[in-house]
Amino acid sequence: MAKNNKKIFLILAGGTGILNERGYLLSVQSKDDIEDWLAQMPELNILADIEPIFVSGEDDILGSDIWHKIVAVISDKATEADGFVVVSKIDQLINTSLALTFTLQNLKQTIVLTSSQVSGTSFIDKKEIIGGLKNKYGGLGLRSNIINAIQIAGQPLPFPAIIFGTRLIPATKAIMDLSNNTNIFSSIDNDYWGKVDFGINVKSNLSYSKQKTKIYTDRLADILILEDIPGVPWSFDKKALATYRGIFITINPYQPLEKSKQEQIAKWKLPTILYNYQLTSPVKGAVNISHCTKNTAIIKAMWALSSKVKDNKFEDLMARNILGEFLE
Amino acid sequence: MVITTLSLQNFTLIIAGAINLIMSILVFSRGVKHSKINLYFSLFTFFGFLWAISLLFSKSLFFGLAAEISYRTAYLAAIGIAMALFYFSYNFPYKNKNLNIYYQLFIVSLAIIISVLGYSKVHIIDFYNGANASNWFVDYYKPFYAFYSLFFLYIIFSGMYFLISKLKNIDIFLKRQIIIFLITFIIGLIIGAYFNLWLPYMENWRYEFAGPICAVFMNVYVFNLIFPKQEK
Repeated sequence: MAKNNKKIFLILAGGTGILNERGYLLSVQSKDDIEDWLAQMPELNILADIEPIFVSGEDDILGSDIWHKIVAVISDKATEADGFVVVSKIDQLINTSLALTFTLQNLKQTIVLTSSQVSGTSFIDKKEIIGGLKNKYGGLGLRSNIINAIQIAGQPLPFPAIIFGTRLIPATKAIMDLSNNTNIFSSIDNDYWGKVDFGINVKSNLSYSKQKTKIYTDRLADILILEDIPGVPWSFDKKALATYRGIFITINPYQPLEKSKQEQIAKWKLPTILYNYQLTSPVKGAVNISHCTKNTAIIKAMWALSSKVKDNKFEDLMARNILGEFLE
Repeated sequence: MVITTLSLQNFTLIIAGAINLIMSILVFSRGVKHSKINLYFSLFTFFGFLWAISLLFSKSLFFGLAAEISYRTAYLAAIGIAMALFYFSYNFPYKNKNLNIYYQLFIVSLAIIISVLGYSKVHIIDFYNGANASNWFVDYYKPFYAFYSLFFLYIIFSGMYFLISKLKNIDIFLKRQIIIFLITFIIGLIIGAYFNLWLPYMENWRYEFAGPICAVFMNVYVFNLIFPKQEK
């Protein structure tokens, strides 16, 4: 290990699939797998002083409970760390990055998230995808992604970001872009914090908040997520909603919500968020939100409804541009 | 219009110097604080600029002592190029091994000593720059010249070794970057070593203008990497 290497914690929560020299799929399903898995990437300990921390296995369901554990690990290790790299499942990477963004506000240490192109330990169902990626890219992309993530984690960033392929994307702008295998994520306004072209280049003009660090250690609230289709009724009663702290409904931009649905929202008496990226028609008793990504709106609502935050007025929190999540 | 050999040389050296200087500023302005790749490539192109300009000055603009100092500076610049490429290759696209600190100190010290000696009689005993290339004469102290050349080639080949050692177990995207960079590296080495090390050793200074242009291949490739798409 070189002198003065930065201390980077490598938090493992799924998304760890990598092909070894023989082409076998290796991933971290338990703590015991970490040594073999890290041996596939000997460069990591040259780039930084790496300390892996196991949070969840490759086949575990990734959601609020695991985000809660990741937040606990980061807040516990923050004083020792120069940065954190979180490896997590590709299909939940945006939500995981947003969960960390809202729960670990203005953290001084950089948090970078990345993933393998595939998640899960079973090989048979993913055989074709893995074969295709191996032929086209020589692997599942994780080695390059982690190497890039570690190099970025040693540099300051305003809040958590995703590095995948050649793009460094702020969590609040990240969207899935399945048309491109190298860059599965893109930025909703095509603005990136950095690029991997000739080495890694992080923009030098990023703006940083001077506010104090705020860590919210409570588990994010469960909310029900609906996609409204005009003319199709919502056929469930108030009892079905008992386990949720709020309801998130994606609506259409150019036609108002039907009267019957507006009445249902009023009856539920649960915090309700109506979302559309472009615009939303106001409905009594609901919070309207637009001009941010759908994932941002969902995770922000989950955070705003979690117990430590609920003292604030929910409507105000949702309307406030806390981390620049509303795009101009 | 008749283009003389000398004016073609001047023109080539000005173009090579300008390209290197522009790339040096461009890459440096991308930030060197957190990127050793930017730092060393920027240094490489800066020394490329210095190499071209010092050759230009020694061949056309200066006479006497000024021309001699300028010509000696070209040898310093070449060592600078080799060292910058060495460290660039070590860091590009990422480090895969740690160099011993004492080894690095030894290499850097040797580079500084050789560069300083380049301004003494240990390197060039006598220097005469005529009005055209056929009248040129530089009397080298051959053992030092051979040592200088061996050191230069050792540093360059070490840089190539760093790049080649990264080709194993690397994703195709990065492998392609390294291979293309290696190709430009080898083209530059062949042209530079032949026209600017071997031919002067054989008392032929007619084609020294060809060396500085070799860095342009790398510059074109790096330019293409930096500005491939229209993403903000």
